[in-house]
Amino acid sequence: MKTRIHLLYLLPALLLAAESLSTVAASEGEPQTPQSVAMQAAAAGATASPQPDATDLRFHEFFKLPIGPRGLEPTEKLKSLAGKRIRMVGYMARQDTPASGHFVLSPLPVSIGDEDESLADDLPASVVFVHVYPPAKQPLPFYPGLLRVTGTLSLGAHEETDGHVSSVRLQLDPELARAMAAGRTH
Amino acid sequence: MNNCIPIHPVRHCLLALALSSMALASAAAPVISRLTPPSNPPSAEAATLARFLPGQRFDLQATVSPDAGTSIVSFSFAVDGVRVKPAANTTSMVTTGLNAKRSDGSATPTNAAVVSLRGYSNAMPGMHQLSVTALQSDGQTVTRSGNFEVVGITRQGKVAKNIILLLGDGMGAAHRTAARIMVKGYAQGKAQGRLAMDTFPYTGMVMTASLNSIVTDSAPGMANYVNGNKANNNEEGVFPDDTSDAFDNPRIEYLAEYLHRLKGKNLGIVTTADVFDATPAANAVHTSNRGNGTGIVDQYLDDRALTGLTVLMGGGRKWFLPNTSDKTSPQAINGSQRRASTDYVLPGDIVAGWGTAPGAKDPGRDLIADFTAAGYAYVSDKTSMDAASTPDKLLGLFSYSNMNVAFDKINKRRGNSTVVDDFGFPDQPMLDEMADKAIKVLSKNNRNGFYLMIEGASIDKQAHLMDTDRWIEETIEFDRAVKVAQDFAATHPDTLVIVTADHECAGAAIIGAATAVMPPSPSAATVATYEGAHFPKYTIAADGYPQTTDVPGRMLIGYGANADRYETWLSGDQPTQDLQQPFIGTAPLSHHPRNPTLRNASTGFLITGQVPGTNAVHTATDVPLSAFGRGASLFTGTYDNTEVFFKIGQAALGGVR
Repeated sequence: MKTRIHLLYLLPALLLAAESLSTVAASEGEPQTPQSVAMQAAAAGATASPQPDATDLRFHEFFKLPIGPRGLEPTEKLKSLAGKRIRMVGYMARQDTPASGHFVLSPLPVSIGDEDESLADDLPASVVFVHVYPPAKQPLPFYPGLLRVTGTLSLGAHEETDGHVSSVRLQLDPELARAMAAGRTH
Repeated sequence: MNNCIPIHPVRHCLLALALSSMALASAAAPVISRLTPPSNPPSAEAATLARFLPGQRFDLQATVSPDAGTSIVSFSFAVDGVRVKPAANTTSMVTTGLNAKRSDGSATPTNAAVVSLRGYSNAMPGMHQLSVTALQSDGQTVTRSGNFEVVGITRQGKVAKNIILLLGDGMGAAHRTAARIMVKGYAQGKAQGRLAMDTFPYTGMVMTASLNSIVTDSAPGMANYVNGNKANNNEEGVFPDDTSDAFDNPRIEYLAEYLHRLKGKNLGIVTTADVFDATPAANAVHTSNRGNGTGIVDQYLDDRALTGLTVLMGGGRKWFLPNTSDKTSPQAINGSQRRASTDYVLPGDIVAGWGTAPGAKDPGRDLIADFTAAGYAYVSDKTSMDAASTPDKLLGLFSYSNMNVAFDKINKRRGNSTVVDDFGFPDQPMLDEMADKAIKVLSKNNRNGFYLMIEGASIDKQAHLMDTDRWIEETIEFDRAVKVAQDFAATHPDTLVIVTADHECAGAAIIGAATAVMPPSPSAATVATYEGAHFPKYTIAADGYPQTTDVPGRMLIGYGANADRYETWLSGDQPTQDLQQPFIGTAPLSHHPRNPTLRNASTGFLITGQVPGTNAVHTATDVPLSAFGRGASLFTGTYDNTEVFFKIGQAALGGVR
């Protein structure tokens, strides 16, 4: 846990560094890949003047940890942020058949292999289903590294189109959704 | 009506009329598009397709398409020419909720009917003719025939009272060999020790095809072993049918149900996967959709009187939590994955024919509370499992979905890693610890014996992800559970222990070893082949696992059924990714992978896959089977996975000489 907290404090600086690296790479003539555009967009979004009402939320603040003998117990902080704008950092879970209306943001980089697994998966309990609105025609391209997302938090059991029941959802900010989707057209 | 132009004599006209009405009659006839159990064509050299132990229950079913404007009025099944008289309420004719397409791809007519007779059984060994006859409302009948076989039991010796089947999911010969090289080491050509499964005296090779493919998945991969019949991919304990309901398929009695009914044996299921997953479920649950988690876990409890379920341990707590989303506001958030669409309600003929619970669509059910009310002790982590001593019945749910893998659980215990903490379940048991507990519970007051299935589930899951270190350590963990079972059988000689796999996963191959330079260069040049591979040497810690897998000259694995991956020839700190990327670690930081990305894209070299998608896939390769204990000598040779069911039946009912 300690290590993770340090990492997140370093994050803004590192994202800035990453952004400048990618800009340097671009100026040296390295081809812009879809992921680089998304990364720049995400980084730009993160380093632009912060939205005043977005609260930082970390995965380990979702539920009382370690998880008790029964179900997940949401923390007071999580419950207090329902309907509010939040900012989170995590990894996009890699799905064999990604859904077009949402992706899963996870504290760890995980791969959900649908073929022989279906819902017997390696997703941690604290994941966020990031909903894209307006829904894109195609799934967003997969982005492999740490991703910073902002949007509106929504809590409660909700049946997703891919068979999961989500407990925590984030309605992605439209500008960010557009930037991430735009990567695909390059 | 014909216009009969009387150019010729009237006789010709009548003949023309008669011929044309005959043509109409033969063109219009009801059709039976499916008869279950399925049969091989009579000329096939292959063994009879549907085979059963004496008295093993199964359903008879047919799909009948009547002519337009008619309906099916009645039907009957006959075996060996004698009509089967069904018990009360065990038959049905279903005309709604049918699949849009039939088995041959043609559209299902709107008046088609699926006719069933549930819970049939036959005690007479030998081949039997099966036929179904349906009567159409205009008086026409149609018949279709098939066959099935009852495999007799020879009473010839002492029986196996306890049966332990350990299944390494996806574990082929290469997976076993790699685990042996890693954990035992080789020197001068000889293994310096043997895996527990290596010491089993009897070996067979198993053909793993499913009913509809040479490449199976884990649902038929398990079901074929434990009910003697082929199943379609994704289907568990059932034959395929033409209705859309996933729980009403024609059933085949499982080994556990059969032995519980005949001998009073109890059932244990232990897995490192989510307990709803195919391998555990295909021992006790009947469904044509392995993804129906809510119904699957409900059926474990609801039909415990049929299966004798006594121990159920693994992951998958998410299915056991009530989802009251429709009922409460503000909505409870407990992570429940229950939903009505994956739950079950059984039709009356199955309930009457099998004595099952009818089921209910109840996402709000508190299944843990129902298990404890039914007398199961509930444990949620290793500490509570150890503290529970030896209850009469045990439910253990150690994680939200799949349990964490051995590599991460061991690193947590050593203090090297917090992956297990990040998942929220820091105190998960190892498979051998779970096996030990299950055997203790099952053998307490055990007059009639038990059947226990123990699965090393993530050999397969990590092989799909081509995460070499993790699947090898899964195999090591699995072998430690094998040792627990073997030790029990050594002191309880009326026990049969079988180690096998449902299929091979990923086409794993031991291609050589890394050159001694560390860190290995991420390229093919690192692979030292032939005599360059020498004997990779790992230091094994007191906990039985390698101190590290990143040793100079480490064993290297290639994948014949691979998808694209970036290979570093090193272990990854995180399952499927290394946390070093992209912020921690040495330059150059690269955020621009050239292809759709996978783990280690910034540090590994691309190995192009030869299957679509992002994961390695199963293969059709035969898998080795190892047997120990009473009845083990039955398991030599090369045979179909369904044959294992009859060998177990012989061992449990007739014994061996």
